[in-house]
Amino acid sequence: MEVVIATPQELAVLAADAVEALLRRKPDAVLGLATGSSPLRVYDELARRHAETGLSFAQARGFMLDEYVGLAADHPERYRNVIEKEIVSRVGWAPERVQGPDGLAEDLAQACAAYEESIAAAGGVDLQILGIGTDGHIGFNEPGSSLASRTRIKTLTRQTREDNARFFGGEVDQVPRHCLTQGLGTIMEARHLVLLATGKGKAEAVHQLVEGPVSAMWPATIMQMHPHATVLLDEAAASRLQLAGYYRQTYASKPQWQGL
Amino acid sequence: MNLPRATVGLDIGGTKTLAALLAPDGLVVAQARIATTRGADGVVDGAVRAVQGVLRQAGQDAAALGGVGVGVPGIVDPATGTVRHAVNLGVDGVPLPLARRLADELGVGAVVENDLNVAAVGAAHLLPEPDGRSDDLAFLALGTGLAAGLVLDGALRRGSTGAAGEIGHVPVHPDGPVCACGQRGCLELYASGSAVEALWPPGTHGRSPDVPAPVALFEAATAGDPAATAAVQRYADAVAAAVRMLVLSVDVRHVVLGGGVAQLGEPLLEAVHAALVRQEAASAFVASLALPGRVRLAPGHVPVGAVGAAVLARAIPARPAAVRPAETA
Ligand SMILES: [Zn+2]
Repeated sequence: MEVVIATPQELAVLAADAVEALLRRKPDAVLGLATGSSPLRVYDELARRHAETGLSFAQARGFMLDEYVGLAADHPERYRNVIEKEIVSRVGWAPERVQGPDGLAEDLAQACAAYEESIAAAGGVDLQILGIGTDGHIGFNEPGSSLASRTRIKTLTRQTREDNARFFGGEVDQVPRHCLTQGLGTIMEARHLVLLATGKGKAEAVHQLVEGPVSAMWPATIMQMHPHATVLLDEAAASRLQLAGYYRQTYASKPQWQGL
Repeated sequence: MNLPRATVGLDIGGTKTLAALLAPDGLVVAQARIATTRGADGVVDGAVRAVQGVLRQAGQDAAALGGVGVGVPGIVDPATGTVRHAVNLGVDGVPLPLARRLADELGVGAVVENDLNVAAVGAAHLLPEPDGRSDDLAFLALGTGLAAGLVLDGALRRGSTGAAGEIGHVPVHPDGPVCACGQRGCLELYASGSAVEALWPPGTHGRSPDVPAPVALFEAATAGDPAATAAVQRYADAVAAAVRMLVLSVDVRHVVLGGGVAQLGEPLLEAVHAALVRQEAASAFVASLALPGRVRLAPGHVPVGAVGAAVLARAIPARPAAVRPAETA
């Protein structure tokens, strides 16, 4: 696991560099997309590069991590619509090349299985962008999730629903109770994981992710088992790391050409 | 200008309906599946919901579509998009104008084909020939029955009455058991998925009845069970006979193995290869056909039939069937 500590803007540039390098090497690459505040700067940077340097997503494909169950197709907080607004529409991506789990399916289990098939048929995810919750969740894999789980329905914790109430007019009751999410086993099959975390609120989760024991109590810790995982942190999110000095030193002495 | 548009294909089976969304460049971008509801209204309603499901995954609605294609297990009139007879879907007696009803419900044009034909088209799409050669293949479905869909010189071959590729009912053992079709010793009795169940009945040989017969049989053979090894050889010989029959009839460049048994993947392909090599050893003529190199597996992770249906839907003219101008008297 590679840990980089920098300013939020520098982190966004690094993550965008990784995406751009991938797209230049493999124009039909498969990107894993996350919603949430952490990846926003990355999407801004990618949109800028698309507009200014012509970085093309035309042949690329995207798979979203998760989706609420039961939100109407035109609900602004439906993740599909969020991702459309935050990245898809800004980089000239044909919408049909970006998939998300179908939270309106009548048979959710079937929808999850079909989603796994869609990912497999695309050849798997090349680069997965991730955020992390204060309780260490990635996707909607809340504490206690099986470390080998696949795409499935999950019940949101009270904490997550309260955290997300701000997007639903401050009303917890308006936040859906269930979601579909790629499982930890699904996420782990992506060939490169790039997790972004900023802010003091994420410091404990980041400490657990990087330095804690691998445990379903902190689902993101499974990333310690991934052969190519990059963790991009600002100072605040890195503030509880015990080996922060070592990570800084390692990154500073890394050859320029190597990339993430 | 008529820009290529995305299409949706459906493969409506007796138990489940598979859907695929094909991007304008031909890429399969999403798939969905729902349980099939029997009966005319159930089939139409299920088809609409399957289309909507695969569109939701891609954040699209039907207005973005160039059309919908449907594969149905039964007798279909492709010219009118009518299902005449599909026992597994509970459509018999009154013909179901499926294309028209889907066009009305979804507001886009629809085409309907037999399920084997869409599978053959799907296989040709997913396994393109190099160097711009036209597609030329048989999709051999090893399912409850045994039959093939044919794409010859790049075109779907339905046959003059739609019976092309129904090789399952070619008798191969005149003294064999009576087939449901009334003849004796049809190839289907030896090479279909049902034939595997007869060779290695589910729930026997110490396996749970939940384990599919092909899986149980091939695992037992891998484990060294001599009875299983012999049964695998017998089965592979029958599949090899079907391959030989297809090549000798229409000389297809490829025979693609699909259907339930083909989900075994490589072990099945290896067994069929071995059987073809055995046949070559006995006959210089058979050897000259280079059969082993023609056989391949249907691609995994992709609903081949649904993809083929989506490919057929690309030929639908841009104007939706539902708003076709009235014919002048
Ligand atoms: Zn017969």
